Amino acid sequence: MDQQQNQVQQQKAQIEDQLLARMQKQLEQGGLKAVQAKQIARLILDKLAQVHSFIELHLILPELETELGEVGQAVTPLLEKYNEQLKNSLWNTIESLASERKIKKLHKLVINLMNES
Amino acid sequence: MSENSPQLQQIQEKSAETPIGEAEHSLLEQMKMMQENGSSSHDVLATMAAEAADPEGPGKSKMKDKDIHEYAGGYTKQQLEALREKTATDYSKVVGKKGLVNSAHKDAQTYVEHRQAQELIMDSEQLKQLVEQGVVDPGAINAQMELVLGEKINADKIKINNIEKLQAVLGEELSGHTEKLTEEEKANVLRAVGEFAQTYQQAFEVPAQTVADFAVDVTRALAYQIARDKEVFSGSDHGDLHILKGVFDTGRGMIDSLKENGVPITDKEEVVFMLAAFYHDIGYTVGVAQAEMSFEASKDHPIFSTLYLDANKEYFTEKVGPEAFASLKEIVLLHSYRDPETTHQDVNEAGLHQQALNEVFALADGLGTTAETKCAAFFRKPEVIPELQKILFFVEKVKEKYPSDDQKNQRNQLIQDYVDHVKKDLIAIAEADERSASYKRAIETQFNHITVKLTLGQFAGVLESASYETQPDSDGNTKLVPKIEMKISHVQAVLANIFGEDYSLRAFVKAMADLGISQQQIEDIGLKIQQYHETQDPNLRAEIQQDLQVVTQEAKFVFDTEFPEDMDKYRESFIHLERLSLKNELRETVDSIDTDDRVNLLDLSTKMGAYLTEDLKSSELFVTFSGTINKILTQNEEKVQLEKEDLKKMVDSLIELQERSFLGVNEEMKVPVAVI
Repeated sequence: MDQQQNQVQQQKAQIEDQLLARMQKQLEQGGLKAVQAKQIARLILDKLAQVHSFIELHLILPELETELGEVGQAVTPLLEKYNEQLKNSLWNTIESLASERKIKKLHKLVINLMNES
Repeated sequence: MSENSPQLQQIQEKSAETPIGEAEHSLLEQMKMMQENGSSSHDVLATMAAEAADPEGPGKSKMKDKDIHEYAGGYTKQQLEALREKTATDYSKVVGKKGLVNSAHKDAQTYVEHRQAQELIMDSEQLKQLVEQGVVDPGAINAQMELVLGEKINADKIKINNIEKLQAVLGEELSGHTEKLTEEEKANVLRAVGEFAQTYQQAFEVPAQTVADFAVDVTRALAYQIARDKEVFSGSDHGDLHILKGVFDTGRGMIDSLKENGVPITDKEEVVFMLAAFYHDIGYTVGVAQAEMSFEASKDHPIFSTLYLDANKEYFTEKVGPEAFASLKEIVLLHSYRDPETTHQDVNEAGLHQQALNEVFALADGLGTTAETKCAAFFRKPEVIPELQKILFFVEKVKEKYPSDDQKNQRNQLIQDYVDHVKKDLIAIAEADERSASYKRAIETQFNHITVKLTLGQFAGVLESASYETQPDSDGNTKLVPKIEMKISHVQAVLANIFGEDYSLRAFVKAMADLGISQQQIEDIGLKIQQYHETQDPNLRAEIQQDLQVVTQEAKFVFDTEFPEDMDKYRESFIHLERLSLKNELRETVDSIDTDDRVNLLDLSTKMGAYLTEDLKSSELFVTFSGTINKILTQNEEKVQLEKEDLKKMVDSLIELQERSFLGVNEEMKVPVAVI
């Protein structure tokens, strides 16, 4: 297993920790039935089984957030963290291109981004 | 952000705001244990996911495999329909129209003889044949219940840790039967089952979930009986009125009274009594009562209620233990017979006050003879009551016109034709009801003038209370005897005027016969109450009031002179009959008119005005009648004598006109014109 895959596995374990903790809380408060929790557990494992990279991990997070209802909100901070990391990475790239006066590349990047959105 | 998946949304809606149950506790425990043992979140989730192998959850996996047309105990819908058909057609072939009970009790007079007769039926070859040949199958009642009510609510929803949450669970079970039960019926069921659950928990100290599970089953048994009862017109209610307001409430009042008088009835015994109340008439649902011409055979229902308990012996024994189960069976089998030799303090080998319980039950069951606990729901409808009166009135007219035995066939034919005529009106009324299918079936297959006769008399009064009081016995000791308080309604006098005292008091006679009170004593009471309401003399009223009780060696009956308020709502429905009951007074008045008697003439005119409905007051005959009275008032004696004969004829003709109008008789109808 390479380092990146290792990190993905660690992230998946972290997500499982957070979702399980949220389910326990919900069960204790009566907001979740046992039968429902078991089905959610299966959904989580099914979705995470498809994840092998950061991109797939990032892609799966909004699905977990919405499809698991109250329990899914456990992944919101992680999703926001990833979003923030991407934004920062992009901003750093733009700043770097601008400061290096690589205007043509900068324009190409911005135009591509705008076409994508 | 997209919406939740529909599948999950459904699961969440179902479980919203439901209490944390044992399944959740157990899952949390399991999760914590795994975590403490070092299992990863992934392992915990995997264990949970494995248990969710079936999308409906582990408790439902069996249901998924089950044929959707299969009901409890493996009966299919087709099998249940075939069973019902077989019961309807073959029952009387095996046991005769009289049925098992009426045949076996033919010569029974005493309680011991009745008891022996019931026990003999249970061991009889005939009963064995009925069951073996599949004519009757009390074991199929649970399947029938599932067919009528649908499946029991999800097992997870019954899992509660607190008895206070029970009402929500019962409410949820009942909410599945919206079409089967009215709101009032649901409220009655919820109240009684709530009281039962509380007593059951106190008596057996079982977990809340066990109580809830039992309470849901009892709720279903009641809902089922209430729904099925509407398909039967046996002359009595066997739904919530009889089971809950009648037997359950009256019996519990009597048990409280026994306790106050020093008989230590325990919670466990009360549970037995309540279960007997809930299940004693479930035998009515085996299909015998629903069969055509089955009135006599429907008396066999205690046998089938007992067989139902036997078919579910393991279930009931698990809930209440073998001794309480044996006690329950005995009450149910003997529920129509009271032992006058009951010794209330005696206990059986199991320490249960079986004699006292048997007596309380038989009394509570037998005292339910008046409309508030006895009258079938359809017959309490204000628009139905006058239709019943028409039939009974018609039957009386036919009997007057064709009194001899050799006119029996003619009499029966006339009555049958008239009943068929009224049935059309009843079906039209039934069609507007939510239970139209059940009612229509019952009208078509079971309705006859006997049903009417059994029903109308129920409006003659109400049972106020039943309790116990101490009386001296013949040996100089004291003993407990039942004390029954009753009120006689306005309707009793109306029924007495038209159909006789005997008929008007039949509801009371039935309730009192077992307690050693003669019909003559009851008729005397009826007359005294009539006198009470006719006189304005306070001294005479006080005197009568003192005299309105009958005390025997076995019981004390007390009558109240006040008309029962809760019967007032029915008075309006008897207004036509009340009007017709003036007939005798009209005839007496016209006979008593003397040539110079101006007062009686005016009285006759006033009474005729009260007797006739508005439409007939504009008839030519009434105009002539009024003119004749005016003429007499101004003429000399000789002419008056002649006019008086005419007046009599006119009174008879107006009575006939009014009666025909009430009966809805017209020239197109082939029969009734000749009758009146």
